[in-house]
Amino acid sequence: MKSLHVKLNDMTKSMALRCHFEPNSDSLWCEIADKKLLLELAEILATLNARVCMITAYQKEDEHELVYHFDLNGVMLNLKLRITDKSVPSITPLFKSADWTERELSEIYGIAIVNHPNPKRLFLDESIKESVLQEYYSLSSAMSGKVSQELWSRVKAEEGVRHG
Amino acid sequence: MDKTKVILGPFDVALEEPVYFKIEPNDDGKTIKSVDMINGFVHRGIESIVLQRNFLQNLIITEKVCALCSNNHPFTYCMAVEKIANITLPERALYLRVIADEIKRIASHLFNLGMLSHLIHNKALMTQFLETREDFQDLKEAIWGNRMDLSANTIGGVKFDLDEKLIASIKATLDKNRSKVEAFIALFETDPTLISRLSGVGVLSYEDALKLGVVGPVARASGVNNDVRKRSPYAAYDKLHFDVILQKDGDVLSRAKVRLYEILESMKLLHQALDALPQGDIALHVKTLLPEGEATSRTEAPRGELVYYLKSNGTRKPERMKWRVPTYMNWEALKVMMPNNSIDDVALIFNSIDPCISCTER
Repeated sequence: MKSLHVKLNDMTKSMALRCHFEPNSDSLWCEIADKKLLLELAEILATLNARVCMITAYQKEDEHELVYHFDLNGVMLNLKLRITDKSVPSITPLFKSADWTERELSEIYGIAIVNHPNPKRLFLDESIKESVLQEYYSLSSAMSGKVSQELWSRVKAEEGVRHG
Repeated sequence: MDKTKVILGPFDVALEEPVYFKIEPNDDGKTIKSVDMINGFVHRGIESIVLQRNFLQNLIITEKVCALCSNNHPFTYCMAVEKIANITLPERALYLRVIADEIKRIASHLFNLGMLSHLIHNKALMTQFLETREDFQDLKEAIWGNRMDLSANTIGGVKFDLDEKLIASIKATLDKNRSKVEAFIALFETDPTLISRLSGVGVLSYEDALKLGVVGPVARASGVNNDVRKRSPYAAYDKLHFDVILQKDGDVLSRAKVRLYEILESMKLLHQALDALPQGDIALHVKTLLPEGEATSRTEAPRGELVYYLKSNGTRKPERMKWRVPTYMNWEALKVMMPNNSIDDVALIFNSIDPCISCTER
């Protein structure tokens, strides 16, 4: 496991990559300063037969922090990247396994995924605006309580007919 | 012949969960040319809800993401919390976690195989599978008081303990059903009707499986070994012996066989864990206020790898919490599995990835 750490640092000497192993754990955490390095690093990881497990995003003030979770032969490599302009290059052309998780990023956080081969919405309807995770909807309004009210009054009316 | 599109859904293709298949048939009108899926019918925004609840409340929410994986969600979530809090669990708790998980895996695999028998209209076989599963459901009810949501895990350990009587009843259930499972395996290995119906259907090659990053029995049926229990051991799995089941054909039959053989491995694991069960506490008394930090954790759910990411900022609520379920990775593989198969087999192939829509759409 340690050899992987060393290998990565060697391969990425020119990239200003900072990596550290979690103590007593199976995860490797790395940070890159510039999103231009993402594709370069992804190409290296692709040659190491990595697999994209998940991509996490969250917003803090006016920047987004992205964490790319790669599986590297049983070790979880977490690659961190901060962006301020809501756009990031797609790694799906290199990793088919990143397809869904990148599309979800853009529909929930409104982050533009540049060069994604299939940039369709994944879960949310086209009529719902982007970056919905930042807003709060109450369950009753999200489910449209009106529908069940209408249905209920129709049921009551029909019952009334039957019972005379 | 005009170009007709076949539309299946949004309700009930194999299970009573909503998904919408748009299928373009080949010129013969009987086989599939291409397939597209529309999802999002049960999207509930749980990832946003968990940011408004504290760490203990979220334990219950993760359990409600899905019924069949309802043990693995809180399990993996607890592991992430425990990593951030830097706490080491009592040995007994680790073994008890394995026991809960393996019983759940056996029941889950048997349910999927029961659905497979239903979809090929073999009612007798379906009855046998579900009757076998019923024994494990009863076992769950006896131990945890519930047949689906076990609520076995808590932050810092587990909520249940096993006494001699319960251990004996688990062992009795295992012994009673072992020969049944072996008979199922013999059937899937030799029965010509079953084999001709299931082999060569919905093939996913080794290369495609690697490229798409599929997980769980779907990956292992195509020869890709990414069983988290072996690759990145957690709980007590590094102290127990079991084999990773691999097949190479990548068809519906192989996926069924992987699940069947895995039931035997789970039984092996259960016997070992019950025999080696250490004495001691089952949980630590921990406060739910977490220090600042972040962690990822992984477990092998019945359907495959489940990943959690948790970030805390020192308050009572998480700053970000995200998880990825096994079906999420396997879904895209349907677009490779389905073309050139009969339209009649859509539900059969769909069921073979053991889909969980409720998990996937969160």
